[in-house]
Amino acid sequence: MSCCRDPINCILPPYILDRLAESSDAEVRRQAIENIARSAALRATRNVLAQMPAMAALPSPARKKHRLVYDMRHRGSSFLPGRLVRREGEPRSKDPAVNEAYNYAGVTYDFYSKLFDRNSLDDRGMSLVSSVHLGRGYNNAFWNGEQMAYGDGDGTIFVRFTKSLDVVGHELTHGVVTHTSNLDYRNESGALNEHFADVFGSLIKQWKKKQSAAKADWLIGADVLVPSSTARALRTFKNEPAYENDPNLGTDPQPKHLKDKYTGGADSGGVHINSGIPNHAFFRVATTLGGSAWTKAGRIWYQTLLALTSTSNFLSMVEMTQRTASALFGSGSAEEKAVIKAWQAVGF
Amino acid sequence: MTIHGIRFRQSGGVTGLVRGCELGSADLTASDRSALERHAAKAGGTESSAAPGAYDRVVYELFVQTDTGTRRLQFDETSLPADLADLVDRLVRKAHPVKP
Repeated sequence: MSCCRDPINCILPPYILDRLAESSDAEVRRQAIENIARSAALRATRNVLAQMPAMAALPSPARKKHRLVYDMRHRGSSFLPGRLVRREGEPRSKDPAVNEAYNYAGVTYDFYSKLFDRNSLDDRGMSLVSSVHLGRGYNNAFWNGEQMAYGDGDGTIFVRFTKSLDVVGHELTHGVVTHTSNLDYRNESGALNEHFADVFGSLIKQWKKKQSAAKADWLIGADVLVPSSTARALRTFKNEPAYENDPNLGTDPQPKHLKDKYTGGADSGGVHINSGIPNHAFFRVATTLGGSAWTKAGRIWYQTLLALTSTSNFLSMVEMTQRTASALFGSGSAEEKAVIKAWQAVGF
Repeated sequence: MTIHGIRFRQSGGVTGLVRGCELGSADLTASDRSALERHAAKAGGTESSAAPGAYDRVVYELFVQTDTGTRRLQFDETSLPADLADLVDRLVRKAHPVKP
């Protein structure tokens, strides 16, 4: 399950490198010094990219939809992105994970382009880079600041993570967040980062399936669970648990009301836990307004994402969604009232 | 420093699952002990490391119970030090769903 089974994926502690750099063996000394330089460069690069995400964006040749899918061949994340196996316009692969990563990245690009006139994650046509088959039995997918990476799942709890359009949309939306509000990934701002990834992951699926808010399942990650799982999904926007007393997953920890907010240190201050509160508020707005959730609720949330900053918290979110609803649909409009009532229902 | 045991918690990742387990002193190897002692002795006993700009990484927390109190170590899956990798791998395999 751990991506770090691959020893090269793990970083040698500095004290060992320091010791090796003083070795009497010239070759060991040379390698240690190279490693120290590489580690320092990597750390510096990561820190700069976190502050200036535009630098990490790989521009596409024509500044339009441009997908690149790589195969990691089960190697660890230090080998990202892996071997290029499908680029924009090339025919289908025999590998379903490659095609899912390619197709769902395309759906996500089209969603942001057609609904919000956004040209890729950075709005400047950056390439959508995906790597599949990361690690062995790896139960995760992530955005690393530059690209998406997907594990195949262990086959016991999870299957391949490219299988869920909402998971792919979730990961790519982390890229949109990076290039807009760049919400800090901890505590309430981190929970908002996760919230936007879930909201747009779900909306991308609803848009592709042409589902109304009333018909949508409002689940995240239903397709990455093994068929025998007792869980319905990883998360639900509804006021009910996605799983309960599951032998592998336990019980869904997401609160749906502010009074139940998690205040501990796990999960970077509960970023995947407390996102349940704004998630449920969004669900209430969308189902109150009816029709397609992306037309009104989605629009309010997208404009809010553009307006927030890296340190925004839940209260900033509440205020900004109200202000945005009023600006877009009018003061005292049904949309503004729906937003106010939804936040009140979850404790604000 | 005498280590009496560790409490392990795994959280985060896109799945958001929270799993954990405990390991007693007898279950720790000599190299586990020396690595834990080294990391626990650093900067007030709290070591935290995560790749900036990266989202949905799995987070590992190790609460090391020592004769001088509990020290908390935190890493994400890409910043996990090599000398703790085997121990964390065993803990991940032993872990079961827990409340956050």
